Parts: sequence; C-alpha cells; structure tokens
Amino acid sequence: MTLLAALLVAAVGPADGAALVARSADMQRRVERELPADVLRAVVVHAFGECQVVVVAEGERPRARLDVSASGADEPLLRRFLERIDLSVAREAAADGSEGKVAAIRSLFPPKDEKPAELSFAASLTLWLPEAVALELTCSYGRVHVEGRGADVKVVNQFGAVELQRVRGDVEVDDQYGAISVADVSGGALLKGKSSAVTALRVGGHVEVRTNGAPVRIEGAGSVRVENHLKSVELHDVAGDAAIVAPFCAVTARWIGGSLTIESGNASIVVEEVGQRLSIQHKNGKIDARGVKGDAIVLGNLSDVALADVGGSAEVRSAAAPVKVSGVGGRLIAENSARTLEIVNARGDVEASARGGLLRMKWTRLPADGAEHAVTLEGEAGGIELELPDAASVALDLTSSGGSIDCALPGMNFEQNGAARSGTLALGGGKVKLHATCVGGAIRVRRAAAR
Amino acid sequence: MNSPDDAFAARIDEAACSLPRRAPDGMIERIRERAADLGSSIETAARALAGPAPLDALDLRIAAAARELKRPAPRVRLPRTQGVRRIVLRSAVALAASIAAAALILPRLLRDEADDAPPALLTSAALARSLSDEALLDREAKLLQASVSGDAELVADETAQSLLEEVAFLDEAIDECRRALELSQAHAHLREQLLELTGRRVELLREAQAVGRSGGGAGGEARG
Repeated sequence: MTLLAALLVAAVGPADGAALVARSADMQRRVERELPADVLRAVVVHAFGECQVVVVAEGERPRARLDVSASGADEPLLRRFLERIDLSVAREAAADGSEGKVAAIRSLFPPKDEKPAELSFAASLTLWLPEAVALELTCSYGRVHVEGRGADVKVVNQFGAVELQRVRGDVEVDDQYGAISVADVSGGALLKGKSSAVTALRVGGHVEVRTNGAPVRIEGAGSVRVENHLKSVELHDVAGDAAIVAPFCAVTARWIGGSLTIESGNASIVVEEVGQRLSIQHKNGKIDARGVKGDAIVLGNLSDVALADVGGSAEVRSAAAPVKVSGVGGRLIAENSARTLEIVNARGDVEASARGGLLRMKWTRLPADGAEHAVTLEGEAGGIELELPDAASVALDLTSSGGSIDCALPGMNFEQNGAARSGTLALGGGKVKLHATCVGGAIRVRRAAAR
Repeated sequence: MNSPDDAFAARIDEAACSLPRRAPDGMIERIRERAADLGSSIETAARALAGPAPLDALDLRIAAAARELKRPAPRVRLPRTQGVRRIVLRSAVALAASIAAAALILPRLLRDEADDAPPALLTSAALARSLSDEALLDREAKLLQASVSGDAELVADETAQSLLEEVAFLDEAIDECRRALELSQAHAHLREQLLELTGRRVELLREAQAVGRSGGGAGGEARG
C-alpha cells in the first residue's frame, strides 16, 4: 500500500512554473507553461537544443516544458543567466483571421552579447499537444522529434536530425546538416536538406526530396521525385511515378508502379519492376534494368547496359560500352560502339548498330509472336553473329564489305560484287525480314544451341 | 467509485467466503481459473490505460505475472482451511493489483524520466577530448587539401571536382557550426555535429585524393 501511495505521489505532474536545480558541475532550469487546448495550430520557435512534440495524454492539459543546462561559470553567474531564460506562450490569430486559434510558443534567451563568454548552455523543449493541432516548428542545434500528429507538420531545423512519425496530413521539412526521417505519413512529404540523409517510409502522397551529398532511401510512397548528388538513392514500392536526378549517385529503384525517370552518372543503376515507362539518361557506370511493363529508353555514355524483359518498345544507346538487351516485346533500337552489342529474344522489329564492336543476335523463337517483323543490323569492323532457332521463319539478306559470310545453315545463295559479298536464305516462310550489313567485318550465321 | 482493483478483490473475497467448509476437489482450481480470467481482464485494461509507451520491461513483468496467474493449479492437495485459501487468493489479488497499479503509473514515471534528462553539456575532460579530436581531423584535412590542391590532374576530373565542391559545401557548414559553438562551447550536440562534419570533409578529401591517384573518375563504382 505504501509502495502504491509512493508511486501515485510520484506520478503527479509538475506544476506550471519554473525551477532551478544545481548539480555537481552545472545548473539546470526548468520552465513549464500550460498551453491553450482549443488552438488549431502551434507555431514554435526554439534554439540551442532538441525539441520533442508528442500527443498529450487524455485528461491532461496541453503543456510545454523547457529544460536548460548551463555550465562553465560560477554559481551566481549561472543562476543569473538561467533566470533570464524563459518560455513564452501567446495566442495569435490564424491566417484566416480567426482570433486566438494559433498558439505561439517561443523559448527566450538573453542576447548573445550579454552571455558570459565562458558559459555554455543547452536547452531542450518538450511539447504535449492535442493530436489535431497542426505544427510549425523552427529549431536549431538539436534533434527534432514529432510523433502522432493529426494535422500538417512543418519543421525547419539546423544542425540536428528531424524525425516525424505517424502524421495524418502533409509534412514539410527543411533541415541543414541533419538527417531527415519521416514514417507513416498519410499526405505528401516535401523534404529539403543541405547535406541531409533522408529516409521516408510509408508516405501516402507525393514525396519530394532535395538534398546533397547524403544517402536517400524511400520505401513506400504515392509518387516520388528525388534530387541528390554524390550519395546513393534507393526507392522501393512507389505506387505512381518516380523521378530521380542524381549525378554521381548509385541508384536502386524497385517496384515502381508508374513511370520511372533517372538522370544520373558515374555510378551504378539497378532497376527492377517498373509498371509503366522507364527512361534513363546516364554516363559512365553500370545500368542493370529488368521488368519494365511499358517502353524503355536507356541513353548511356560509356555505361555498361543490361536491359531485360521490356513489355513495350526499347531504345538503348551507349557509346564505348557493352550493351545487352533481352526480351523486348516491342520495337527495339539499339546502338553502341567499340564493345559487344548483344540482343537476345527480341520479339518485335529491330534496328541495331554496332561500330567497332561485335553485334550478336540470338533468338530461341523467331518470330516469337508469329507475326511479320523487320530486323535491320549494321556492323562495322567488329562483325555480326546471328543465332537462329531450328523453326525460324526468316528471310536473310546479308552483305559484308571487305569481310566474309560464314553460314552454318544449308541453302544460302552467295554473290560477290567487288569486295562485297552477299548471301540470301529464306527459312520457314520468311516472316521476319532480316537485313544485315557489315563493313570491314564478317557475318556468321549458326543454329541456336538446343535447349 | 470503486477502482478495478477493489472490484476484483471484492469478487475474489466473495468467492472465497462462499466456499463450503470442505470444498470438493476442483472448486479451488475453478476459483483460481476465475481469478486468472479476472487478472487477464485487469491486464488488458491496464495495457489500454498504459498507452503505447515502449515499456518493454513492464511488458515482460505483466506477461510473467499473467502467465503465473493463468498456470493450472499444481496437482498437489492443498490444505483446505479457509485461512490458507484466503492467503492464496489474497496473494493473487495483491499481485494483480500491483500489476494494474504499476501499469497505470509506470508509463508516466518512465516517460517523465526519459524526458527529465537535462540537455547535455560536455564536462571539461570531454570538451578537451572533443577539441583534440577536432584538431586531429583538421590537421589531416589540411594535409589532404594540400595534396589535392597540388594535383593538376584533378582539375580536369569531373568526379574529383564534384567531390571538391562538396568539400567546399562542408567547409561552409563547419564554419557555421563553429560560429554556433562560440555561444556555447560545451554544447554536446553541436560538438558532435562539428566532429561529424569534419570527419565527412576528411573522407571526401581522401576520396578526391584517391581519384587523383587512380587517374580517373569513379568509373561505375557505386557510391554511398
């Protein structure tokens, strides 16, 4: 019984007011203020330390508490300094003019030039607010943690992380040099950082991230736009469209329901499962993209490209780098130079050009959809290799200037015209018209290995 | 108005008082089961009142106590005197009441305890260590900066230039952080930030230097 009584006494909340407590090397001051319970928005300005905003418990009064520590001076000086610190609470009119619907809460410190030079201090602010109150918070030099808001939240912070959790509304964060993390937000999220790592988890609306030199990770969002520089960008589970502008950043994007656009370079790109169109503009890195339901455009400059399983048409261009494209359902345009260009199981029309590198094409079914198609191949110096299935329906029309034609299939008709050698062969009704020209390189035709 | 604890105690007392002098086998067991059910109701109510606070330790204690209450009676024959029965039942009541009270009160105590931590300032020793670490990082940054500035190849390298732009950006942040620290030099959070920023600057300069040594850009290597 005594224990219970002691626990009950200890549970009683502190009264409104202020208190000074001296500890061994420093001194603390606590200021508490009750807040109006009927406001729609809280506008909070705090400096020199962290700020926490939580939902006030049922039956309790909304309140604010400022805790300040000071050290580095003698006790009277610390005391005098701490006594000048305060927490102001005022009612203001809302933007729509409705009187008293905004609570303005501000931690107050003595002017900089009135602070003893040797004195150090830090201040933390805790707010217990009704869930429905929207929040506009400006803070500096500490972490900001906001949990459980039923309205919009806007936070500006400097030199401190910002963490927002469980917000039914939109969130906006502008943070300098601190990490930003938001989770379980029903609305949209605008997250701006100066060298801020950004994590956004389960955001129902649009997520817009602008940061620099720090990693970005988004898992679960309505739609996304990310701008970053130098550090990685990771997107997973985006219901709608996603756009990433991230030079020098490794990019990973998986399970994007809408279209995906990436502008990047000098680092790798991994893409898996895009519901609509994929567009990549890139240079000097590796691109591995697969599972695109719509069209795909991959423009790389010195980028190794592997593109697989595209439902629509595809356009792939990358100079001086190996390119492999497989399983394109629609029309395919592919171009590279100096390295191998490999195309596997193209199901539609093809226009491919390889300068200085080998152009290799393979089919396991030709045509895969039973329809008529045109395939035009241009090679230069590196040669062209064709691998055809047993039951191919194709009409070959091959020309090699200054090279040779080597056909493993019987029945090809050859013609020599100066330095140019031509060969024609029709197989299985010739539904696919394949026209290949190679300057300064050989053309080889063979059966695809039995599967 | 009676508290849930009082109501619970009254119901158990009522059940105990209504026992016949020589209760048949199984009756005590049934009452224990009843007590366990009531204990479970209290636990549910207490959890609802306790709210979502992350009270792992309390959760464990509640779960252990609940398990204890819900455990079937041992198969030994208990002495069937009213006094012993009352002791057993009252113990169960006391335990359940303590759990309920703790569940009501501890969340608030623990929350306040967490919030009660005063904002951190570095001790003199910790401040000296922080300043020394910062000086070390600064020295390393200066050496790296000199090496990078003297590397003519880096001027033409896109990756290196991008890294050096980021270094300039961090220099600005470090200056801002130092200005803030002039107002509160033992501010633990700002000191930590300054060390982090200075460390990041060193890391970037090392990357830029490595680009110079390898004689080219990142060439497809993933960053971040």
